[in-house]
Amino acid sequence: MNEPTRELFWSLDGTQILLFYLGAALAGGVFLAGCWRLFDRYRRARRLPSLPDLRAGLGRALVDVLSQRTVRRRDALAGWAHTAVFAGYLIGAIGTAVITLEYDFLAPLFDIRFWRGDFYLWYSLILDLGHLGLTVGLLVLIGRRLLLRPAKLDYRRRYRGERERRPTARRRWLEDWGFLLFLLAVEITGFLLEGARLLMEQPAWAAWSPVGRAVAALLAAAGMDGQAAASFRVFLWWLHGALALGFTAAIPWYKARHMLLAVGSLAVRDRNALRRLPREPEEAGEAGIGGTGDLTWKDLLDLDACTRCGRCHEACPARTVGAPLSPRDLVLDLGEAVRRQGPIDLAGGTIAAETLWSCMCCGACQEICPVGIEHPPLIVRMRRRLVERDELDPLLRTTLDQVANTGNSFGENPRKRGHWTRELEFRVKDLRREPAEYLWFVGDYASFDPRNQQVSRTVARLLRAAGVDFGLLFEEERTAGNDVRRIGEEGLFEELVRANRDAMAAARPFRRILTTDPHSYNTLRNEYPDWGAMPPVVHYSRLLLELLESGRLRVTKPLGYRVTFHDPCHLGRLNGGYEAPRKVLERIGCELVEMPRNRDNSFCCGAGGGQIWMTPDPKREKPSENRLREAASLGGIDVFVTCCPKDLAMFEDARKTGGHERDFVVRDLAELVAEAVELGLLEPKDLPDLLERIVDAAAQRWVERVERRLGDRLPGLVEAVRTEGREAPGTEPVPDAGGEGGEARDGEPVSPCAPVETGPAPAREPPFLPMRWEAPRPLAPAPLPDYEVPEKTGPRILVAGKRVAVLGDEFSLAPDGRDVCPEALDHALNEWDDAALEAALQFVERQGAGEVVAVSVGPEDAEAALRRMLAKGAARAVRIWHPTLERADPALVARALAGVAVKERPDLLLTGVQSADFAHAATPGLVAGMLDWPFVQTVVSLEREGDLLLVERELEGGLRERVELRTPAVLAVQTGSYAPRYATMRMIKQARRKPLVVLDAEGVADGSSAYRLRGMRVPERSRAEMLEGSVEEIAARIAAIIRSRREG
Amino acid sequence: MARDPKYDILFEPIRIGPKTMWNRFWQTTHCAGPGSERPGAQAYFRAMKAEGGWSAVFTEFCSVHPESDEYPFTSARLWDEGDVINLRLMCDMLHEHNALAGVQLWYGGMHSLCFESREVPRSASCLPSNLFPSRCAYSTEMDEDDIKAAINMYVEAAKRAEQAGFDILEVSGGDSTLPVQFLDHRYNHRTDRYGGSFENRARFYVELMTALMKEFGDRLAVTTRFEVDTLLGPDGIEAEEEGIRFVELLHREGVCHAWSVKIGDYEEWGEDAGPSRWRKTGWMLPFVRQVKSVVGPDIPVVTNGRYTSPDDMVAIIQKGIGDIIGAARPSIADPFLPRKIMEGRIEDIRECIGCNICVSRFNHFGQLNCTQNATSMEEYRRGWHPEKFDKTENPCSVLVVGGGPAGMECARVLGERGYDVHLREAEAELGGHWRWVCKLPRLQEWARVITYREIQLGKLKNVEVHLGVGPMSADDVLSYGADKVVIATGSFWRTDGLGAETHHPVPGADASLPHCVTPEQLMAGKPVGDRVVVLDGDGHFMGIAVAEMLADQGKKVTLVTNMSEIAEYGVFTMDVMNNKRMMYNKGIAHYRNHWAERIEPGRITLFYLYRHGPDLAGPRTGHVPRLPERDDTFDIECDTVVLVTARLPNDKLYRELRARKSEWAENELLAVYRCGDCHAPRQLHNAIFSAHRLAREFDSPHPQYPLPWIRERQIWGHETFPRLGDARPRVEVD
Repeated sequence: MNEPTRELFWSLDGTQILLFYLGAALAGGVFLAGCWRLFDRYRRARRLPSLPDLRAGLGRALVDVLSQRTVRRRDALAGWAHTAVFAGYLIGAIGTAVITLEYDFLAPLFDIRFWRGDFYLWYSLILDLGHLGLTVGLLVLIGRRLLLRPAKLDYRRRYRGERERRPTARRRWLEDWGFLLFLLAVEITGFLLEGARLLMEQPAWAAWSPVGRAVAALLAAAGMDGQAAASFRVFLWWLHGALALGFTAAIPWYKARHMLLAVGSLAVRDRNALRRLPREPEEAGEAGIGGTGDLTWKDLLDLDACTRCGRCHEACPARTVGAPLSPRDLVLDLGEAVRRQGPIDLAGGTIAAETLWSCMCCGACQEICPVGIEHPPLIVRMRRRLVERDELDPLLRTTLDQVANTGNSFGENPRKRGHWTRELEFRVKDLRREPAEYLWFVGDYASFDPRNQQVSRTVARLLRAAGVDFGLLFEEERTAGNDVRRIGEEGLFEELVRANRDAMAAARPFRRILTTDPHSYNTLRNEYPDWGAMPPVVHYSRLLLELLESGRLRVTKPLGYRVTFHDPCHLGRLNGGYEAPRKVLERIGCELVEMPRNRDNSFCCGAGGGQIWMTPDPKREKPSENRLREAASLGGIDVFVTCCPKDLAMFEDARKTGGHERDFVVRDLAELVAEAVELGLLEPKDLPDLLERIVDAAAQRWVERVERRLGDRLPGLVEAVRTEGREAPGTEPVPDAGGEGGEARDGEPVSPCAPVETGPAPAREPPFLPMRWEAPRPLAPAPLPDYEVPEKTGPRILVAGKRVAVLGDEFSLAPDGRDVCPEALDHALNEWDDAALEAALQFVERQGAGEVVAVSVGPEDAEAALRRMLAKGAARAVRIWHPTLERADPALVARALAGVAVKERPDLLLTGVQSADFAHAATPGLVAGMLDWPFVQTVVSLEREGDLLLVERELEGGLRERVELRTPAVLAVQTGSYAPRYATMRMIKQARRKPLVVLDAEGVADGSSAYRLRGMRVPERSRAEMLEGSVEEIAARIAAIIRSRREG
Repeated sequence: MARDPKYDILFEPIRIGPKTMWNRFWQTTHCAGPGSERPGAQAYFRAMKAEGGWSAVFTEFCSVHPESDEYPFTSARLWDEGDVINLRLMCDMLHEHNALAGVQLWYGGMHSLCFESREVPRSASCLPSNLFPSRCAYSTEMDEDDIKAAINMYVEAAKRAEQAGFDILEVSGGDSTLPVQFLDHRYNHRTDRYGGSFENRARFYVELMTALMKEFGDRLAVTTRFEVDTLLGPDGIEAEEEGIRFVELLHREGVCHAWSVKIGDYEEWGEDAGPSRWRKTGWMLPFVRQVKSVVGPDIPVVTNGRYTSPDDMVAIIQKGIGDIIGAARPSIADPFLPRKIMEGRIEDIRECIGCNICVSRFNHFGQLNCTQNATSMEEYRRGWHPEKFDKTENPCSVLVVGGGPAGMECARVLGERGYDVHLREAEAELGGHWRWVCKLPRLQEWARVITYREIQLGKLKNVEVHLGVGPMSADDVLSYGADKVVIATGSFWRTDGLGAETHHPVPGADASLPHCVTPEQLMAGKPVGDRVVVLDGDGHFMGIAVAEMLADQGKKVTLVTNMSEIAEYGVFTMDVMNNKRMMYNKGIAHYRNHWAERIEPGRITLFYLYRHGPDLAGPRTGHVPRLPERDDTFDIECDTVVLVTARLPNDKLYRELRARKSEWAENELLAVYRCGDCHAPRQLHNAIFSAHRLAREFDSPHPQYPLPWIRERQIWGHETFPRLGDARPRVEVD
């Protein structure tokens, strides 16, 4: 008894020892069975598409577990208590293992014994202290539950109006308490056992077990002598042993299983979860997660590892404002479902659809989860199934349709995407025509939302002032699709990726992508690379910082505002861009006061995950209002700063609805920078230089001319030259913006973003043989195939009628820029031709004999106009067409009409003065020229007197001119004098039976076109001013304008 | 087209106590006729507005207790479980469309006739009702226990409202209801702590609001509709005096989540729901502005004033006059007004014309009708949706003859339903007689009937409008080639002076002579002498409008009518008071209960309708004894008589076509129908309705006559609420 040690199975006989070993084996068996049950489920679950990097993951997981750093975040009390429990339990487990090693293996096999002497003393001390820590930790945790009663540990779903605990909630509550009290019982019996032993044995080295000695002293003080202690010790030994074995056996069977599984869930944690959502496997039948069978083993592991700490519940913005979603309850419900037998419907079943649609995809839950559960990807995958089943908010459905149709969530005409640049004093580069260093990917809100357009213009001016070379894709840009993907509309997202990548590939060279929108930033940076390499993506907060640091933007007026900054989820939490905006604020002289929830704990504005497109529940507080209350409570804030267009939209709104209009203003980071560098005071010299613009324009012209020459001579060469001439976006390494500790793809070679697939080849143009002006060929009537022309029974009048396009309120140009998109057009019979027809009909009716023949040059659609003319009284109709007449100029049309005149030999050929769509007013004159007939323009009346025609024509200023002429002749009729008749329904029906001849006009396009349509554009709006006031005031104002124009 | 961002402010959510409206459109309490007795009509009518974007929608005035029984006027009622069941449908349907359901708690006090319940209403003082001076309507004066009971009636009714699912409890503090009967010294002659000083008179109203706020304030919005000025000068509540003092008082107590503002007491209701003839959009803003200036930014104020233009609405909010656009009539004329603004379809808004036909039907104890919106109140019983139309399964070609309101409406609805339509109008412009009607004094806004339909017709690709084609003959129609024809040729005024009084022409009346004119002749420019008699047997707007027009031209005008009121329909449209004030101002003389014996150049001879003795003259002759020997007729010297006596349908074409039915088949003509005045010359809303209905039911076997609709009434043998033997709901506080 001189050497410190103790007898292991004191006072136990062989049978009892055997009994203990049997018990231990039983406990071990139950433990292993539990482990197998878990593992077996994982084995049967769906596989991961690719295995995560387990080595790195395991390393990180061990560090996380051993350091307990994930547990201590944002809850120091519980965190440290858990650390103590964890450390104590680990020490205890190692201690037990050490004894087992010596007693059961080394001693009997090799007669090695080390559990004595100094080792034993230190062992005693460490275990004593370890268990002390464990016990104190447990008591703290128990006290916390009893006294502090944190709301996050309450399983009542208050957001669903629950006031009582449901049976499952009660079970969970019991389980929690069972776990704590079970372990506490093990500890207390352990200490009592030790105290009894020390009281009985009174060893000299009792000081090495300070807690045990204290317990012994207590027992003694309570009147226990050595004898009593001995019998007490036997009882306690069995009790403690049974409890300890029982506790171990139960571990895999209830919430204690996190002790094992957390290592696993942390090891397979996907650091890119949410930042880069998983793609749908190609072979998958239905998209996303519908039922339990669609979960992977990693999902199951995550669900099992949940410790119910409630941190996600606490962090979730949806839960905070009372939306029917708590990430904790979602995980618990899913966990419950997967542990039940048989397939269970999850999306819309176990997890209500409204719950799934409440998520804002801000990532707060997964970010704080100590065991690495990734809630948002689970939610998005379940949403995918809902989307596939079309179970979504009608407003969302509309928005998705709009995105699909127009490429933006506003449902705006895509052509308007670049309209915000019109109010700039300078021209913004069009990346489709000229290269630039930065492609500014603007995004929907920054492009279309009026408030954000202001910010976009400010950013553009700042970039301009700093000399940053940037360009836009204008209408080729589509919404990046970050939120479309988070809604779960994976198909549409892929379409958007494809479209945007194609647009980038087709653009002139650029080196980097700049964006003000953190949502676009996230998906361009993290998700687009899944479809091929991407150039580096920079958030403007980072660029502004660079410009300020490098002096390209100089702060001339430090602002001195007291500001607070809201971290956009997609910039901060998801991409680590916490510091750049803060440093910018510091540089421009703002005093930054942080809100309690900042950086990784930032509180979502409520727009994410597609929420901005859904119908808000008016009964709930908006997250943005909640956030602004937080800001207002700081007191004395001048400006609430953010750097995300959606944030700006949400907070501007919340500022009004939440009643903070007098508290502070909401501004974008760029607006403050602009104020600090006094952008408004830009010198004229900083503005675009006139010379530069002239040179630009001249160069552009020159390029076009060269291209045209080449194109004329060598069709097809242009394409080749363009393709070869396209430079790859730079390969120079560029530091990535934001980024979590240099995880950027710095070293990776950056290759041009290749198009996913090439679009269809442009339709072939009819060959254009330009007029040889040096030796013009006379225009002649076109040769047309023969057709049956009836005998003349009186005067025959040919009336040319055109089906003209009528422009709608909103229109867009076709991709090749040479026509208006057909869907924006209505069609009608040209009103001048309608008047010509009326003139012809009245003429024939007065004669009492003869016929009117309607003629049109056009495709099958043009027959609508001819039928209209037949309905009104034309006897027959002729349509002339060949695809080579697409976009024919008046010369070709006139050739065709003259060709018909040759066949029909009419007495008169009437046309309108002009067509309502192109208004050339050239065709009738050309026809007359080819036929060598007399021609009268702007005819308002037409009489016959003997052999002569009496024609009255309208001249400028209302003058009338009378002309006498002989037939045949060509007359162009003016509107107004001949009010067209209406066709009755009978006439319309009868017209369907009147003869309509279609002539193949292959020979019409003979190269005598005078021009070819190169492009259409919408002229810039002129600046008109409404003059108001008295007559004198208006007159004075007009005089002033005229004077200034003359002088200018 | 996307919405113009300048209208965004109209779609910002706003909080009313614990509730939030998703936009700024609030359908104020307005009568419609269904009450709690026709749950289907009520629910579908109100839900249509919610679907159209009104985010707070109210019932009509809602009686809290049988002591406030408004029969035969239809109020909603929250008397018992049966009412809860019936109103719950409306609340549920509103909630489906994201709207808040509002109820106006009403206790009429001294103005409740209690014709059905036969209870005795209570009021501040025992006074005769000025609203129904002839009905011997009295209420009993309350003691303090009665006051507690009355407040409890509101609380108990509000509990039932909560059960039914209402979100907003609006206390009626207008239309001379009980709170005003305490507040207004005209009605309150008490000397205890509920009478006398302003504070004492306000006490009941404040206690009532406090009780409701205490009981419901955490869950429901508690608001009031307050008449800030009774328009009686010092004899009543004046906005700048006690009106605003009361707002300040109640605001200080903090027991009102939002203020809805109105003007005029029950008698001057026509100033609140002002017809467009007298009150233009926004006439009550000066009053609303005062309330807003007192309650500050935190308590929303609901405006009123028949707004149909989003620009006006934006201006109201931006200028800080009010926060929420309250509307009743614009929401009837176009339930989809908010949604159309939201979707940038401003030109599609069907604007209220302010004719007050809607109110006139309530005042007749009937169901609401709307001139502009033929589908109102037909949502449930006929299943009509104002913006959705069943496409026809048998598209055929239809010729509509006549481009007046009925022809336009018929062509529009047929066009929406997919028929191939030609609408032919003889004149060069659409509108028919309504074009000149709108040129009469005060009727300019009524032209919206034409402009709305003109724009809609322009959008329909399958409708051709032919203008200036001259009158069509039967031959024209037969040879036109249409499968079906609708005749909508309207009506004209009788030229012979026949009117409802005698059903015989007036001797000497002949509009082909220079001294007699019909309204259309007048508007076409037929000369009129200096002394004019307007013989009004029509009673709606035509006689009075013609009289005013001629008075404005400096003529000496006398209006003669057989009715007991001048322009008697104005009693129902609530024009009556202002009609009389106008006539008084412009010196228009009048004879009521008179009719013309004969008309001669230079004079009209009138007689008093009740000139004969009351005794019966025996079975042989069987009439009240005439007293021919008494020279009881008298002459008015006049140069011209305007014959506003009756109208005749212009159905010559229709009858000729019917007579030539044997020729239809050879002309491939299947059917000929008529609608509007050509069918029977009735008020415009009926003409438009008949055209609309014909087009809606065009596929039915016999569309000239309506299909059956759903009738809501008690079906024998089903449960009643309450049942005989049930206890009286307890309200007394002992």
